[in-house]
Amino acid sequence: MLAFTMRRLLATVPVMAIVAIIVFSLLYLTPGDPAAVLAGEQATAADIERLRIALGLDQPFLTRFGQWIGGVVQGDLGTSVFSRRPVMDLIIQRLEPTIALTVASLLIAVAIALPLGIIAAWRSGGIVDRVAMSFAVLGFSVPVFVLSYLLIMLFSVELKILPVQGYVPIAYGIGPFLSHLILPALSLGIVNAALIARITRAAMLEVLNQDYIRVARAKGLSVRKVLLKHALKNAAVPIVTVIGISFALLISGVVVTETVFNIPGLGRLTVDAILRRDYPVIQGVILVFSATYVVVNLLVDLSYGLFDPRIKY
Amino acid sequence: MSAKPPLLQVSNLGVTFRTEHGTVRALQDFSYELDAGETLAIVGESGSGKSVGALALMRLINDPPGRISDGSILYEGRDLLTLSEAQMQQLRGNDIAMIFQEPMTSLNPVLTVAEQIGEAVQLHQKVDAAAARNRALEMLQLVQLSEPERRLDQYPHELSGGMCQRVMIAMALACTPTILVADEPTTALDVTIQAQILDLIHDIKQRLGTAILLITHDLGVVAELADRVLVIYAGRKIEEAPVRTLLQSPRHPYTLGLLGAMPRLGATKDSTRLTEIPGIVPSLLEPIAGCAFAPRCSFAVERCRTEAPQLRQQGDAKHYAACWRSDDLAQPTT
Repeated sequence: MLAFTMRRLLATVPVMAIVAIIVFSLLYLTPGDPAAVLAGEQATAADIERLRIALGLDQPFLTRFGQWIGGVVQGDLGTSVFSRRPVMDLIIQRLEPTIALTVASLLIAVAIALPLGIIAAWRSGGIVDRVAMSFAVLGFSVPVFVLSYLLIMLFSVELKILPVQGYVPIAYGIGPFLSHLILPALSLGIVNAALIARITRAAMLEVLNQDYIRVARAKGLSVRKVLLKHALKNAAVPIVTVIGISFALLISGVVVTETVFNIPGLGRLTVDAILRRDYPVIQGVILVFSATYVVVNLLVDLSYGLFDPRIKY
Repeated sequence: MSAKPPLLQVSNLGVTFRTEHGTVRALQDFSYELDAGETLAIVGESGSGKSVGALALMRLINDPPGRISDGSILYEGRDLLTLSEAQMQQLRGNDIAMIFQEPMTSLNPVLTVAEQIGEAVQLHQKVDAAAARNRALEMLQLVQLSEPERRLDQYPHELSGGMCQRVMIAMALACTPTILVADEPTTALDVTIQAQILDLIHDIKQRLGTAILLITHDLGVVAELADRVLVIYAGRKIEEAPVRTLLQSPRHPYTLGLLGAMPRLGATKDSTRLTEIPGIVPSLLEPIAGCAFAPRCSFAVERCRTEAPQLRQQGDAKHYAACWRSDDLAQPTT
């Protein structure tokens, strides 16, 4: 187990290296000149040239990549072209809202999806199954921003029970923190719940047809115990995998949701940076997102052994 | 017949399954009795309804598509068909336990042996985990599993098929049930392991006095274990007799056919060729006019195709057969 973990950790190094190269190349692959954008409308060609030299943009690709990656391994993601502040500081500043949003969304998604998927599988073909799966198709087909606006219309504009947008840090009190978090987390969570519920149902259906489920029933176990103890643990591997995949969806969803709800998180930072062609920030944020995703995948892989004793590392 | 009512009395049981082609009558007018400590074998070929009968007794037929349509199952004076699901759960595994055909797939792959044996004990006998684990160890010793202490914390994939079946038997007997339903307990095992498991069941029967309902298609197993035999064809009981009577003087051509299809040890090549029963089990989608076996029966006469024979008592007091020509079969045939 420890050896496997170490091997998997080492394997993430080349993955992250490739991500870093692609992220850095973005600057060359996308049209537009950051120096020209920064210098503004009235700048002369000489002004732009001077700025370009000041930013180091005149250096050859490899030199600049070398400088950047050298900083990255020391935890220095460079300096924002726009605000002149270290990218690392900008990211840390924006971390809390994004973590709160992703964790809350994931909790909501799992809390909705698992019971729904399990009941749908147990009563497959029944009313709960049909309603749940229609909901799943619907939830997955509606874009996050449409769902967000619908929820705002209902809870904020019509019922007036939740704030329209904004974010309150947890340090300012649990109540305001949660009331601002509910709608964005719900809109992001429902989309993921749809995906997780479908996979849960499919995995459970397969397990429920196994002989050992009938044996468990023949022992006199209640349906609840058969489902939660005997079936769910056997269905856990695909379910955990899809939860890991849904994490990737959450990251892209965060960008949209934070924009809709005006939450000052990493998603908003990304959108703003793209609009301003603030390449160091874009690179830094993408690198952080990728690293997070790689870590989540590693955790998912490691968790398989907990559910299924036949999986050995 | 003893004066005491039997431990289990199944009367006129009917089970139907709804399929896309129509309703299948898997079991019709099925009755039998089981006394305490007795072993009753239910014999039939694939699709005859014998496993459905076993599952119906446990009320484990999936509804939908299956449904117990008629009859009663009296166990210690209570009709199991009128019990609530919660009451059935108290009975399952505690009073009536079951072992299944496929030991390798009948154990949960992600739970240890101790957990799987222990959970029924904890559930029915309201003991703590440590006591349940002790009971599990005791049971593994009873079923003569090698290195029982080590097996407790092993998972099914670490055991062989024969070991899995021993664990299954240990699991079923852990709460000392009065009835053990064994659905083809040896079919999936190879021959030497089959013999070991049969010996084990025989031994347990003697030691614990558990009544056994043995579902099988193997008359060799029947000869080894059963006290009485019930032959089932196309969802109906067609013959019932004490084991010796049935094996020596069957009164139904189907039973005779089953015996003809059974290899015998020591038979010379010429004297006893194995005979097969021609044809297949009829579809149970439509009602059958005469005797269900008539199309495959070499003894069939006109009456067999138009009028269904009822069970009638034969020469021996406990011998019943449903055949118009059972008296002719009583004459020694060549």
